Amino acid sequence: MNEPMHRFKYTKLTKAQIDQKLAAAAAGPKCASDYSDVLAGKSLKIVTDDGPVLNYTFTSKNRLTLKEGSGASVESGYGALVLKPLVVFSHMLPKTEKGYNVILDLKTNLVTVFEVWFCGGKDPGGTVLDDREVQRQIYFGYVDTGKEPPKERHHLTNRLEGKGIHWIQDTGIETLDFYPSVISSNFVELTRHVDDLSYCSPSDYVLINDNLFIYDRTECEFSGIHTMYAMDLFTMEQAGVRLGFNEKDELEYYMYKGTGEVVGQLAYLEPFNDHGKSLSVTSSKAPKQQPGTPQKGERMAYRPARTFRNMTEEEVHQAAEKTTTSFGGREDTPQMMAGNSMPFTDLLVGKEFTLRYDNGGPVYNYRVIDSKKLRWKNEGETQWREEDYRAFEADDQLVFFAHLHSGSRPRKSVKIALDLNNGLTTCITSKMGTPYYGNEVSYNAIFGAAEMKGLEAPKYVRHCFTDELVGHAYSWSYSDSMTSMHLYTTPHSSSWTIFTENQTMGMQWCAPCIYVKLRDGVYIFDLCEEACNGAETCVVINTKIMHDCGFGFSGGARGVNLGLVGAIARLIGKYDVQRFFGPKKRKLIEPKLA
Amino acid sequence: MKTQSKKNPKPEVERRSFIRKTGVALSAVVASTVAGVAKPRTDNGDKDQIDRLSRQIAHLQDANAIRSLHHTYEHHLEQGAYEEIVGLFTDDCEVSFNGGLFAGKERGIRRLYVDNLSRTLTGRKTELAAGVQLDPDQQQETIEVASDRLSAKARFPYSIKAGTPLEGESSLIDMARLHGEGLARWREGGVCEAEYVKEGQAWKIKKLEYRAAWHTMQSAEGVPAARFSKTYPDDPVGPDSLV
Repeated sequence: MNEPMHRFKYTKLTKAQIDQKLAAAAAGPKCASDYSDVLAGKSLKIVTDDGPVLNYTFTSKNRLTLKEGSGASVESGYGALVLKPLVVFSHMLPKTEKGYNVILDLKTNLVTVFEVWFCGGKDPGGTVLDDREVQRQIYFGYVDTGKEPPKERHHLTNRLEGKGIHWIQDTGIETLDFYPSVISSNFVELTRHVDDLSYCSPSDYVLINDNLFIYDRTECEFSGIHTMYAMDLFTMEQAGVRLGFNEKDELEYYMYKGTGEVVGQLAYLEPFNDHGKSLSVTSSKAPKQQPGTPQKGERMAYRPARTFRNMTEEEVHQAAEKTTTSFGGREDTPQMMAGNSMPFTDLLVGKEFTLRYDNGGPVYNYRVIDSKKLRWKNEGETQWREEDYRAFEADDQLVFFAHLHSGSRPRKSVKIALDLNNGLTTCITSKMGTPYYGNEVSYNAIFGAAEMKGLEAPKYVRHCFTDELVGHAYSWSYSDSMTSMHLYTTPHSSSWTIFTENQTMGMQWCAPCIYVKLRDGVYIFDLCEEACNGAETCVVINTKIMHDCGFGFSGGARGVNLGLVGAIARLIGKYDVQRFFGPKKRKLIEPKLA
Repeated sequence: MKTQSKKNPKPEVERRSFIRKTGVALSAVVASTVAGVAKPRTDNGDKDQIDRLSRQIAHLQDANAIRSLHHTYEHHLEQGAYEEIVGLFTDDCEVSFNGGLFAGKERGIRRLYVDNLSRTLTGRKTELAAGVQLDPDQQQETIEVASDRLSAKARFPYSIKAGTPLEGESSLIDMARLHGEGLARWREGGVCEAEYVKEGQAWKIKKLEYRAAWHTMQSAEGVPAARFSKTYPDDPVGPDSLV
């Protein structure tokens, strides 16, 4: 797949189309490995808390009958895989959009049941769900053996929070799965996709015991595919199931086994007595119920494409003509993302210089009037243009400054790193509009050198793109009220995670980005929230002082704004993942299935 | 017990102290005075005594009912059950909070609790902020029931978490809002002054006024915990008037 998921226009499959495509699921899931016959010839009565009673009879290793409560028996195909001491089995119910994925612990007789279904209607908050999006409800229970029911249950957990694993399935599919939240996860498709981009999906985490866990994700807002697996962190094996419709609208319903490698562990910051056993992060949009008891299928899903109002280039231009502001417009205007801003610097005041960018890039002449006003022009022009600017000293004698190109259509801004020590410069040129939306920022990094009295800039050495931050996670506190964690997932993408009040990591989203190395430990990080709100955040991260400084550039109905960004950081951890990225021969095009 | 003038009803007063420790609000009885306790025995002897005791009991029941009503109010705030809070008020009630006066049960009160505070988790109890010490007067819980037992006044110490939604179009804020965050938070404490009336057999809140004695911003520079500055409908969740 070479169209990024956040740009791909998934078909709005109808119920009739889904029903027709699901007919094949009645035979049971496919699998590249041999199914287990551990359940063949057995009957199980699974009792769940606040959920169904499932009476199973496994007539063979791939056929079962199910009687839900006092309902009629239904026959279906199924598949079962063993991940000792667990049995993971999956089946759909013929002529319905519903099925079950069941994780049975043969040692304890405890069971976790995932009821899964398509055509979910509306979520508890009233959001209309895509019919192709797999819904899920998790039930905890046990196998009724006629004896005293066990008191223990599998339960939700935060014990996986922060872990990252590289998985290789028996299908040949490879993924990086990061679990930096209790309700969401990041994943990188190393074989399905041709770009090194990460995505976020609503997820669940269940603890069976200290080494056995269950994880699932649903690719909400994308294909809607549901992936669920049990994992053994002792043996680093997994057994799972994938259900849904891919970008070609083909049914993917298969089970798989896999092996993994832990690539790292991030710290999680909730109180030490919080074990994440109950759902502490619930949607504020859902109707209020008893805490920790969400409605059936409820999950917290960030759906920015639904709330983002796409604008045309003309609409954005008209809005910009009415209002284009830089740095808040007034001295006392609150800067939401700059409560922890670094101080402005006057290092450029009185200086005159030329920034010459490579490969026929722009050549800018500058005269800096004071700490907030400068004049600039393109080389060869006679007319100087005056602009407000702000500058930070991001590292010793390394200035990061920005200003608008007032009056430009589309509105344009530049964020410039200028090293007064070695004469190198990087310019992030940004403008409103992408091929997709008028109110989404497009950006570009160009490298060059400065010509200034007292500077001897190199002719070949340049700032450059880097993967040195990849795998790192930092919390960024823009103010005492606003902290998020950035996980630099791949050389071309990053995710951000919102902390809840008790610092549990919750909602996530991600976007493509770039990283530029300015000096050891000092980087430009530039991200546009593509297919989200279209805003650009462009900062210099100084890992020596654990602080960033920079600018945000965005536009919409309220006009165009170049604002300030500043945050202090904590290192949350690092995944060892750089080795998975970069140009290489592709391993696989399609999953290998029986 | 002599009949008291309706123009100047002598209230029955009950006081309790307000003690907080490690985040839990505890109330302990330090004083319970009821007017007329020391009345001398009259010629009517036992009957007067019974009448006096009956009246004392009735007033204590009223005081307990009001305390219970306040605890219910606090519990609903704590649980975010804002819809239920509206039902605790009289039709012509008023609430003064954070610089705004909200009037009328189905208008101002619903707007304050259901439309406004439900976004902010405001009202959840907290421990006192570090460095805050209340003087004894501020720790006093007082309930004064009018002699006709149809109205009452009370003062309850409080220490709550409050918040106001962060403004802006950032995805961080959008995401935080989805799980009930995205707030500029502060803690405040002081005295909640209340007036009650009896409707049928039930006490209802007629007036609430939060008088903050201390106020701790948790948010940083540039994100003020703003008092209400606009009234409804300019502010769709704002007060009916500013105070």
